[in-house]
Amino acid sequence: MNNQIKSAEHNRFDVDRLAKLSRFRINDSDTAMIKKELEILTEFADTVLTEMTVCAETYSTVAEFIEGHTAREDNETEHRQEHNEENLLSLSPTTENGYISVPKVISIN
Amino acid sequence: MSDLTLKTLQQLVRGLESREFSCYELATAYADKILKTDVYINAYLETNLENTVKQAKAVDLQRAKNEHPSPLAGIPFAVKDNISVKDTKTTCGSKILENYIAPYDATVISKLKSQGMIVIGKTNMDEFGMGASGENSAFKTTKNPYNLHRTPGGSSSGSAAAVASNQAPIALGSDTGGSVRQPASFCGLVGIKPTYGSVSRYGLVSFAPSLDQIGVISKTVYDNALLLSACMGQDKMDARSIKSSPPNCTTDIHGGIKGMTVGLDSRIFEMDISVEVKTAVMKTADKLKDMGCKIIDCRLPDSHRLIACYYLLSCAEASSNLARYDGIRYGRRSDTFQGIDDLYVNSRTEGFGREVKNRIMLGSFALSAGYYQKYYLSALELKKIITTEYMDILKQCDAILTPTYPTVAFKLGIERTSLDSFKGDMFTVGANLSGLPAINIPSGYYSEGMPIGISLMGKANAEPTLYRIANGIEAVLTDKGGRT
Repeated sequence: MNNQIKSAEHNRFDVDRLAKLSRFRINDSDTAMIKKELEILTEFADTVLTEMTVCAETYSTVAEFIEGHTAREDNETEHRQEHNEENLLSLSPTTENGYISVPKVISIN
Repeated sequence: MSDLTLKTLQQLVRGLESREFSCYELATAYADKILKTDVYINAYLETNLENTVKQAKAVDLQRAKNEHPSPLAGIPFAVKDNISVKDTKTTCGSKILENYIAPYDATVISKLKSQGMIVIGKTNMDEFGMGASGENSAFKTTKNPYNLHRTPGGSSSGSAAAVASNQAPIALGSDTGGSVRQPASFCGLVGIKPTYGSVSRYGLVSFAPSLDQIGVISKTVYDNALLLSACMGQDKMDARSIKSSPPNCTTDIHGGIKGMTVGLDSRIFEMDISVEVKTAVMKTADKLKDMGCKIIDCRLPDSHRLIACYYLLSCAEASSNLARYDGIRYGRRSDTFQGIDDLYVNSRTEGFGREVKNRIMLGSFALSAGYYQKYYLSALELKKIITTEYMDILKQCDAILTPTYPTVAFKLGIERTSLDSFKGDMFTVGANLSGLPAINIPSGYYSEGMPIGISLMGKANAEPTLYRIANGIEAVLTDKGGRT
């Protein structure tokens, strides 16, 4: 019974789909090998993750543990007064007959 | 004059200061050693010996005029090939980047160059840092200088082999799951993975950015502390850089370890690891006790959890990170294609090696619809739990003692599944998942003369303490320690 469940579970590996997602072309022997590797690895992960029942206080980075040591502030996305909708839209390209108007960069004299 | 390449970094600094020898003599000594030795070791992917000698001459002139105050000026160092050095190839051991020339220096390289240090060459590595033997390089296989039929470890294979074979006094590597500490262990060297964020990752080609960290490989603990101090510091170019003034790791290094506490999980001795490795750990614990250190029993996070969490997260991040190598944005472009999709697929299929493809596909699986929550999110949660567990242990002790790897360097050419390979990392990945610093220290020679390493993991930003304990261990376990 257990084996049946396992083999059903292992059929979930559509290696061709994974290869397509990852943008690889793989041959039949690669497919078999990768499928085997995935089976071993996910079976191992399944066992470990199902045993995981404890939940602990969570911390995202070590830096957060250290008082006064925080990661760099993100100045790039800081809100500035001049970044209002009107100003930003004024920087966008103009349109003409439904097409974006591209400024002329080459002039023929 | 004695062979300069046999000296430690500390001895070289003193020799240059006292004018016992010049930077030019030092550079030519290393250039000669590389030309004679590297044909057997394959540590380097690229060297620039002529330029190294030229730069050394320039530093000699500056030193003569007292224009270069840094004691490290004129010292050559080797760099793993995933760290960007301006105008130099940075291949990451991959065919897909075989002709990529970095247009800028990584922050860590800029820092060392500003101290007058000279990049002597780029070292071989497992492709994109994925591997533990150096055999996954697309270009060549690096050999262990202690035994040419054995692996130097990986993925910083070339950096470790270069230092162990005296082809460089010191080297930079990167550590995502043990890639600095494991090769250091296999080659009888000191290797540190510092606290996450303490050394800038700007210019390091990423494999798994939440785990990647640049580290140092050296002959002695003091050398390691000296170079790491020069590499550390906040960097605005790395968003995860820690905001703090970098410590000087050498100041208290000889302070002794009496009264310190080290945690040891006695269950290690029941695990499936080599008897010699267990002996090395026991011997180290005994020596620590003799030196006045208190050893306490602790319960480390379960090794299976560590491995599962590490491979799910690292593969997921790799699959996302390496998507940029498609022949358009980055990377070598295939010559044969019909249409854009074909170009992407052919470029990636031809450019990446087997191990990288496996991990990318496993990562795509973990991130794919239906499995994202089950695998990726669970692994993220597990990572937080593991970090908390380590932090709780380190509330009771200054460092945690474990083996670095379950065995000595294994033979080259042995077929291993990814899981076998991951299981070998059970003592190293914890430091990457938690972001804590960890160091490998040589603890003697065992099977067929191969070195064994033991590992110490410390509190965040406590590298000086870690070095102090490591220096104490080095003094009693090897013939190098305590050298002043």
